[in-house]
Amino acid sequence: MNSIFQFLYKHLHWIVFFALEILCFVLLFSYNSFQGSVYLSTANNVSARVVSARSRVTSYFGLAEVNDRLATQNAALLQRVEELEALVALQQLDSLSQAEAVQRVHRTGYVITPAQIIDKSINRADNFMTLDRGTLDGVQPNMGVMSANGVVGVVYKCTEHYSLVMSLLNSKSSVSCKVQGSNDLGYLRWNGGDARYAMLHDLPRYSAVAIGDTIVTSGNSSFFPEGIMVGSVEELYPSSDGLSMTLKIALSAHFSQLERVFIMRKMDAEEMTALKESLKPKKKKK
Amino acid sequence: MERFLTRIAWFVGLVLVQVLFLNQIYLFGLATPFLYIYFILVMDKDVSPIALMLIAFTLGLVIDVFCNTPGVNAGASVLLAFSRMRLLRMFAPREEFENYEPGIYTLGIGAFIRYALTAALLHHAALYLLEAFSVAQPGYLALRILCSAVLTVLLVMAIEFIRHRR
Repeated sequence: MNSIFQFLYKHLHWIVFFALEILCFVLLFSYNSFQGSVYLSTANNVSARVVSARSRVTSYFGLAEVNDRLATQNAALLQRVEELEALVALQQLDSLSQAEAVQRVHRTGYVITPAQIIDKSINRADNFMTLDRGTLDGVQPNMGVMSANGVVGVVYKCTEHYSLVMSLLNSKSSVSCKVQGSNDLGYLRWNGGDARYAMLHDLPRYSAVAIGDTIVTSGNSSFFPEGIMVGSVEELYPSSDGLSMTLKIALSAHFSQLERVFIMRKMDAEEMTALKESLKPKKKKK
Repeated sequence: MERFLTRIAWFVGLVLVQVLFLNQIYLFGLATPFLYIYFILVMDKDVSPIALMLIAFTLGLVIDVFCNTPGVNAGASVLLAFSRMRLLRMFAPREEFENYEPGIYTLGIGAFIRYALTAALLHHAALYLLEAFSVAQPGYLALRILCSAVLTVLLVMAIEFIRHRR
């Protein structure tokens, strides 16, 4: 018995080593499933404050560029206002169709919350961003996040004041997309490397798509409304099974320069989910 | 006591430098320095391996919290702490019974560079493998490990020279 203890004591550092490494693996693999793990991320209060102090300083550096982008965005919005005013004027001629139009806007409506990125990475295998909005601002997991240029990611975890966004540049991210102007669907994934490109998989082989075509969100999920810009086609490859195509997409959101983003909260999202679930109670949820 | 407080200051300082500046570096799309291992490298020779591993685990986990990669930095740091005794024996072969802090004066510049480079390669290899968890692009991965290790060692040497300038 004594010799067992002696043996254990002599090799205690091996035991501690394996115990700690096993603990690390548990942390690594339970990160996605374990809800409390949000406190082991940049969305916890202490670390969020540290990184937001940095972002307050660094956000001054790119102001000229931010101004340019805002000006462009302003112009685009003004244009849109003009178009909509014209449309409203047209609709007022017919009160019935106007009511219909209002109802439609309500039905497809998304509430948009602006947010500031306080921390982000683009050089890892799984990239996240931290935003300065949390559940108290109405943010919940699974809301879409976009920038002025295009889709950025999906809210992953939230604390009261901060939220963690799974960026498109994450091996676990998958967004349903389509080629603008057609209804051929594919899903967008990123498999590491260059932060400017991602891959669109499973596009049917017969779909007429050319280099330079625009890729937008499909609107099939409740994360994003239909038609939000994702990127443009850079290269085409046939997939190995010959049944579909894989496209290399130049992402329209510039991940290395992102600072401000918008969180898209779908109105009636819970109602929709509840309805879907009540309709197909036996099928597995997607 | 004063030594202990200095250690704490180094711990906090290295963590802040790592998470506020160095994590943003991505040189040539390849290299990110992980300077925080300096804390493990220059711990006294005679510190117990178990204490060193626990310290390395804490240090790695704090870095992980800021990188959103729980377990990755911690795992690599524990591995480094575990292997440090053997590394020191490899690169400082003289039999010395007294305690010393590994550095460019106690080991000599050449031996310290070899020690730091081996340690950095080991740590970064573990780190990138844990992070990628597959070897899909082995060439790219190896290049990242090598470039990052060189960058880390350059920074480690810079700190060493500044600290021991007199």
